[in-house]
Amino acid sequence: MGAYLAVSLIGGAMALENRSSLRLMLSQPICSGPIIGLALGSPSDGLLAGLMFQVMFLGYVRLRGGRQPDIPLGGAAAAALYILSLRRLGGAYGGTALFLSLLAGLFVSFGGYLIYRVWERRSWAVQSLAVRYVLEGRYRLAARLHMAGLLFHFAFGFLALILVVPAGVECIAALAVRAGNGWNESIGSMRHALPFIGAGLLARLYIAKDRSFWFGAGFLVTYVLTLFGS
Amino acid sequence: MQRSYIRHLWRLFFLQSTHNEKTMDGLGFYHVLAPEMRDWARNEEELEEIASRSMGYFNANPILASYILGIVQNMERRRAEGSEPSIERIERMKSTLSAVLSAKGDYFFEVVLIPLGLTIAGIFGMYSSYFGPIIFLVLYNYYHLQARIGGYLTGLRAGEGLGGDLVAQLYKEQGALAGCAAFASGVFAALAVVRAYAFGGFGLAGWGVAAAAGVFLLRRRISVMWSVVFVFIATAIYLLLS
Repeated sequence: MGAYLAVSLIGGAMALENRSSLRLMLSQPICSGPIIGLALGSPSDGLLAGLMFQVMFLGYVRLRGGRQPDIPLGGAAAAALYILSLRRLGGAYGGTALFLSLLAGLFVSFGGYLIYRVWERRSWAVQSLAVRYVLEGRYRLAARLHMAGLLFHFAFGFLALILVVPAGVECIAALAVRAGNGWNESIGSMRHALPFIGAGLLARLYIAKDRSFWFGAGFLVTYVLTLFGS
Repeated sequence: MQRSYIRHLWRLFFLQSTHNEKTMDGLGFYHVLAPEMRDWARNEEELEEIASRSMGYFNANPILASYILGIVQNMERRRAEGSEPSIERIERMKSTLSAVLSAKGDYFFEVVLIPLGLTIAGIFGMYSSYFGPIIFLVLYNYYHLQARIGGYLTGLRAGEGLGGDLVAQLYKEQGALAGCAAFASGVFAALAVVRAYAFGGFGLAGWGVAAAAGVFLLRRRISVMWSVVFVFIATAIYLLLS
């Protein structure tokens, strides 16, 4: 229970960091993965899960007003699920556990996106209440109302992880055992295939932005150097 | 005075707590300026007017919004002292700078700096190194904290005089950094191919290139979330069948 609580507290803090515009970027999966791993005593597994989640969204550009998947929360969920389900499975079925954790993380990201669509529509009510307070001369209360928004962000991250992680660990452990070793070996190479998703998004970002020369140069130099290196 | 700066700076970091579709960060804007508002007003009616005005529509890049808040605070102070800037001029400055700095900030931070830092982190991460996330955090926060803290203090010191030159002076290195980001992306893509080939031979590397092409094309039609989910599941099916 202590592990689930620790993970949920970190999830709450990451959601707060991401949504409040604190934006130190600790909530990016590649950073939050090792942090969660550190809290659970397995930073290298946290780094792996965080990295795999991050590379899928490498070329994603967050623009205000656009549809934003909740990548930080999804990454935190994926890292926690991977570490705890791997522990539950005694270190076996790592490939299946990683695949299912990342899939669950993607669902959490989508859930976060849906919840925040509603929040951004409804949080206007908070501002209209603040306006009312200002008209009544209760200026401090109006300012505090803004800070109360932080509680919502924290609570959302905390609740999402405390609900998803314990149930997710049970499901992943059961599915991984049921799927067996055949599945585990096949899906184990997922970690070598996922960077291509990020590479595709990056190519789209920079080729569309007319930086194809530098993208191509980076590709060719590395490819040639690795070829000669080996 | 120092305490007052710290109070404003602290609040700048929570500008978007009540981000909403109607006024965007209007309440956040008010929240940052709130501690000093009483000093700018001669009576309760004026305080109410300033507070209500501050809560209006405000949509800017949250990092470069620091400049705007510093400049507006400077102008409001001078207005309270009986100097020139009118309410209309303050509002015009606020909306003009919001539009211009949003375009600048969104491009520099979201299109150039974050992908660059994350790609470098991804390259290091492929080799299970913790240096990647550290390099990303240092690179990003160097610019981020400079804009947040330095931007606010510069805006506060220089006031509206800063407005004209600000956009031209900011991030002159963005072209070079964008080139670096594209180059790092190419390095990342090549390493993905090399590592997939070493692990799973031509089949895995070939599927990877097809997956990259799939995301590239899907992204033209559907959102990033669905593009990723679709290719992720397709990859899992391919791996299970092969």
